[in-house]
Amino acid sequence: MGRLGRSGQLGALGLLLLAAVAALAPVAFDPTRTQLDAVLRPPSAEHWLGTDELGRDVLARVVHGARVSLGVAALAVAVQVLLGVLVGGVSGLLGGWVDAVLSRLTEALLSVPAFLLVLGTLGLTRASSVLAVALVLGVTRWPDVARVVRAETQRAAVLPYVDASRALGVPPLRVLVIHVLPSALAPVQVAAVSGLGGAILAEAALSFLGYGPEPGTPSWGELLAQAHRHALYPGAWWLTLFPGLALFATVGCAHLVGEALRARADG
Amino acid sequence: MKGDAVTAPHPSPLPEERGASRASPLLRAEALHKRFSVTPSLLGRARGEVHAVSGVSLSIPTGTTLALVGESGCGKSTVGRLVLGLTRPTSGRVFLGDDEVTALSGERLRRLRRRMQMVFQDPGAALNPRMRIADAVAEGLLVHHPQLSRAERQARVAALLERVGLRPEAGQRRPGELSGGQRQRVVIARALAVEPELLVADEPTSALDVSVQAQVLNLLMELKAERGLTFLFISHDLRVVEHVADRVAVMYLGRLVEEAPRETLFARPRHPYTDALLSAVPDPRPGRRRARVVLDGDVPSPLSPPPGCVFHPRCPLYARLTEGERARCRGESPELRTLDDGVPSAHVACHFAERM
Repeated sequence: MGRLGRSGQLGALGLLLLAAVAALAPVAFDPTRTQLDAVLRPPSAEHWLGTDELGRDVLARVVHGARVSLGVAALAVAVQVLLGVLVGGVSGLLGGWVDAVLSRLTEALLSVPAFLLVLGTLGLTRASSVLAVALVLGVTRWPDVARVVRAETQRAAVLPYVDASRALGVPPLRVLVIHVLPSALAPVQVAAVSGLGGAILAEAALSFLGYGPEPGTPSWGELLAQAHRHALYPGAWWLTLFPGLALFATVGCAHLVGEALRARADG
Repeated sequence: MKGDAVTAPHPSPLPEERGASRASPLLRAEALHKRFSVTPSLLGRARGEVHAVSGVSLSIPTGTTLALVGESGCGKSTVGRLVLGLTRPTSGRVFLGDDEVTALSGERLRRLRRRMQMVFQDPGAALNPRMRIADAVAEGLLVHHPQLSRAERQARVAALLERVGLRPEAGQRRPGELSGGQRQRVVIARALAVEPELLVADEPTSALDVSVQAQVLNLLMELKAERGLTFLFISHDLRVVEHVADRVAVMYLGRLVEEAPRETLFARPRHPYTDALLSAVPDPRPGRRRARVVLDGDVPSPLSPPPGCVFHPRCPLYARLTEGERARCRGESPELRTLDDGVPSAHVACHFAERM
């Protein structure tokens, strides 16, 4: 992970920390334990981030939210990258009518605002499991990746050193694996990390609108939505501030890493 | 045999310079044509064709160097790629010894590549930046000599690096850590690894600092002598060509306009274009100034070459001809021919070369 620069390293450290917290969450915290004698308590020694209207510990819910938000985002990005590399790679390598068909499909999807597409798909399928939300996010967001991969594959296929290896008599498959793909996939890292931030925000927005993982799942968007619905408790700032901060920090970290990778890819 | 005593039968191979004592040529290209279609947009039809190479025939005897010269865009690099089978000709044939390059494809062409290699213009771009130098040099061995053990391969790579003037430790570096001259040495080592007979060098020094150009040229010439290599040396730099070539072929707008032994061509160019090229080369010897021939205008677009002799709109000789003679330049494309001047090995494509 060297040569990311200070801000990139900071972002990577933040993401790793968040992932560790998310992984360890079930050991330390129970997000569903209610304490009806301690509802809407501000941050204190007992409840560091306060409690919500049912007396649930906000820290526990934010930490569990990391599991949901990061999990959904990671899965969504995995699906997005996989589909994008497949479509873009095939398109760029084969060219011809295959490329024409795939490119028009990609552009058609890109022409619809991604968020509307997600909302529409979720509304139509009435899917609400964590898995379904992640899949829909991934399936609707691959065109960005596909475009990058297609362009990169086309660029890499005519690089002088790719030409040189052909002149050397290197078999086509080896040329592809050793020379073309590594060069074409470098920008995919950037797209993936940037996509992580985007997916986290998209999941939060979906939850906020009530289209996210089923109610009760403590994702950050859901926490914010809950706090918003109970805005009749004036002064309970801790209900919105802490999930919001978590969201902000995660997306910020993903952005820093993405920018550092981009800078590295651009040399 | 058709044709008379003066006209060389054009697309057939050019006659040998020194008669029957020479072995048959290692490389023979017959009447190569390459047209690229120009498609303006995705849905548009081909708007035109660039006739990048037009009827080029070459013959390089084993162990000699033919220099192919001309301005950028004249098609000389395309000829290099056609010779190596990296680009398919529209028509024409290429032979390497008894094997017809243009008849092979896929696996069989790949195997033939062991015998012909290329040295590229920009060594920085021709090396994979992610690959260690030793791996780059070993790639050809891995592909063409898979029976070699790892240790044998490493020993060969080390020997090659040393031969081209690099220390074996350089093998552990990546291209980005080397200078331009060092990278070009790596490219040469990579080409030599498979022990080719023919080396196509496409402007091998023009991307290098002047101070290292001579070193790389000398290395190439040493290797040629040592290994009996045959060279197709593509260059726009006549000063370089004068040092390395046995014969020189001059291209203009996709056509060969002159082809002659080096001394002959430099001493007395037979084509007005060659004359203009030579006059642009500064002569370092004091008092030896050649009259400068300045050509008017630019090289015409290869999309719409002039009719007749493609050089006539810029030709200094044309300006001195009578109207009747000019009509011939405009109407009839000149074929390569020998002049009746005692140098049968010099060929020129000009109707009025005798007037030079």
